[in-house]
Amino acid sequence: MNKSRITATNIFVIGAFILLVCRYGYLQLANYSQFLQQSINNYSSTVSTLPTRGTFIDRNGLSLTNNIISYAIGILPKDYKNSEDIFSTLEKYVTLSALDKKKFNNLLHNSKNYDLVIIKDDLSDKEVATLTAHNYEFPEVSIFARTKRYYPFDELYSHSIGYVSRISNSDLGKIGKNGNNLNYLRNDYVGKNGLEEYYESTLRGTIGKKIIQTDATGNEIGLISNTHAIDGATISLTLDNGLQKLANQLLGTNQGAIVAIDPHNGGILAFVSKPGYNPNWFIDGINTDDWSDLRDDPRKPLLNRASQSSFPPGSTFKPFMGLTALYLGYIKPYTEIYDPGYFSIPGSTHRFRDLLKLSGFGNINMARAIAVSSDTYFFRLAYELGIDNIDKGISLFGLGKKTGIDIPNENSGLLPSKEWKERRFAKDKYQKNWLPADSVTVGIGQGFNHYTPLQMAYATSIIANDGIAIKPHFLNKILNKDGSIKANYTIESHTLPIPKSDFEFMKKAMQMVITQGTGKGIGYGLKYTLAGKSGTAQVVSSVKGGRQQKFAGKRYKDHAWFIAFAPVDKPKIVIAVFVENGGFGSAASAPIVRKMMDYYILGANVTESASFKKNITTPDASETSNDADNSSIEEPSDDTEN
Amino acid sequence: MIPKIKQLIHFISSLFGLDKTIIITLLILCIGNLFIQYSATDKDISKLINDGAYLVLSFVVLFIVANLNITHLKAIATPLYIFSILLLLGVIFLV
Repeated sequence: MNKSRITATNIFVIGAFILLVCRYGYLQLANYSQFLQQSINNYSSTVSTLPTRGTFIDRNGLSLTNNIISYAIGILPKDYKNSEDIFSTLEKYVTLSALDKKKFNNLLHNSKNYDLVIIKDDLSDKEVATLTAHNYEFPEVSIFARTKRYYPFDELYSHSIGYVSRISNSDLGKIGKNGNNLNYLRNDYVGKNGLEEYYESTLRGTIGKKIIQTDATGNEIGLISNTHAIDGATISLTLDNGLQKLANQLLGTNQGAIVAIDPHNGGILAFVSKPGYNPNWFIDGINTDDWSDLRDDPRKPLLNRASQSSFPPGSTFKPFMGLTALYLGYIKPYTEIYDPGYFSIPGSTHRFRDLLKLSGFGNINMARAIAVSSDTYFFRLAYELGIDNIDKGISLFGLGKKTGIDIPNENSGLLPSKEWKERRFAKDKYQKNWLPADSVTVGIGQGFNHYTPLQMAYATSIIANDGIAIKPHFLNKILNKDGSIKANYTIESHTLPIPKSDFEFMKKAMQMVITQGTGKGIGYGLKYTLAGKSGTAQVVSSVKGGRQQKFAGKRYKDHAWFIAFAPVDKPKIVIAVFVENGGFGSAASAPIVRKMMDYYILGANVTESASFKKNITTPDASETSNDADNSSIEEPSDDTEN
Repeated sequence: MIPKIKQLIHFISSLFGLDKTIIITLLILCIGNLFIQYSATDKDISKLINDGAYLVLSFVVLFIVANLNITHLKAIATPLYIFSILLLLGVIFLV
């Protein structure tokens, strides 16, 4: 019995020691690297050096963003003792707001020993001089210079380039998913919007790390390793600063958007959305008053109307409808249809009218229907095609789909379909079925469909390119610090299955818009060939006898569109202009197109090219111009705008 | 029953801030050795209490040291190292 107890005890003790040895072996051999790192951390500290953020330049090499020197005061957490002592000493020489103190305490809480925590940024020269002179009173506080983003053009590129701002926990979480969070410090900047966000990894560069050996009290006693920071690359954009400025100026105080594309390569030449905002406000956190102003502004300056917001395209939709009908063989280019000034669905007495051309255009073919923007022609075409065929053809032009442009949060617009309506109005048994009248209204760019100005410019570039669709993009090339090319943008394109002859026909029809149609007001004195299409998209439905009184304000005025390209044979530029509540497309948007075309093709000064201005008139019933062509729609369309 | 044991193991290991396999094995060894000693000393209860008290004390010290902030421990690393050498010498010459 005794012997068996001794044996059991031996087994127990030996077993326990074997377990201990195995566990020690596992920790020290299998987990060697993890504990080695922990051990290194115990006698070392990492000092991070920030890379200089890459900048954006336009197609001609002009800097669109700068990195400026900003002076700041900060402290290493290892030197920090008491915030009240530091604040009270510093406040003798510099004003520290409650927000500064709060930000400091937040950053301090999350920073490592050698991560410099900023107490106050953007010091004036006088403050720097005073603080430097009294630095002996607060030796633990460093006065230092660092680079900081600056947007020299203020709001001009707010909706394309976007802005950087201080990194947040959610940003770090997102970056962490890509395994890049070690490349950022707590008080770092990160691209929050636009191209700054899209090209963050290219612009950011790589953080430098100096690992220093420290003694038991944290004092530096040697250098273990030093990895220098790698600055971010410069991004050359396809944007043309001159054209961008002109587009911004021409939109004036209107709300709207302009997108100009180089049809050869899909490069964005101008991308304006108005109103904009000053991105410099966001860099170190926007103050409450400015934020309230932006957020509550009824003109929605934070909304990117060029690519994140979609609108009914009005008659600018007609060339795509025409090409769809030609492609699907529903009509021949010069087949004539009788236009009495209205269209009725067979079996119905309701008349879809051209209110501005009540008498109609008589016998009319597609080219003339495009030129004078006949609604009746396209009412009938849309009815005969039906929504399924419309979808089949229109989707080829990328309408209703994201273009894939290199900017975040693009809106896909809406190309309606029977399935879409069934989903959208699932709870309404009367609304959910697609009706022939729905197709009729879609046919003239009203009803449910709505697209972004970017999509309209892209679709127009496909016509300009005789059916070759080239994905729009901002990136031209990525440059190294010495200016050498690191990477070029690779063009992505595909060809539409529509015959080239159909595109050639449509280009001629769109040229007729300028020579004898709704856009003739901007055709005066042209030194190059120009093709385009106007559009006036109704915001609210009309009733017999005119608009209801309650829709009298500017908010309910029609949206003005104009799409164009020039020269017609070898297009160099495609432009889509959208003026929100601007009225008639041929009056509000077309002149903008002409001035931009003159500038880009002729290099003409804006004021010199204004000679055609006298010819711009608002179309009325007496003119052949039928640009206010959607006034017969009875479907409320204000819900299509978002 | 098993979940309760698991909870107890987790509680003990988290209490010491140490690897749970090691701390539990150590505890079992120490308690087992107390009983072996009790048996070997002809069931001398005073010896058991005396050694048990030392054992409790050693685990309290282990608990304190394991939970000291590494930066504080680093600050007193040199004197602590000298003290531990002196303790070793004390074991050789005094016990």
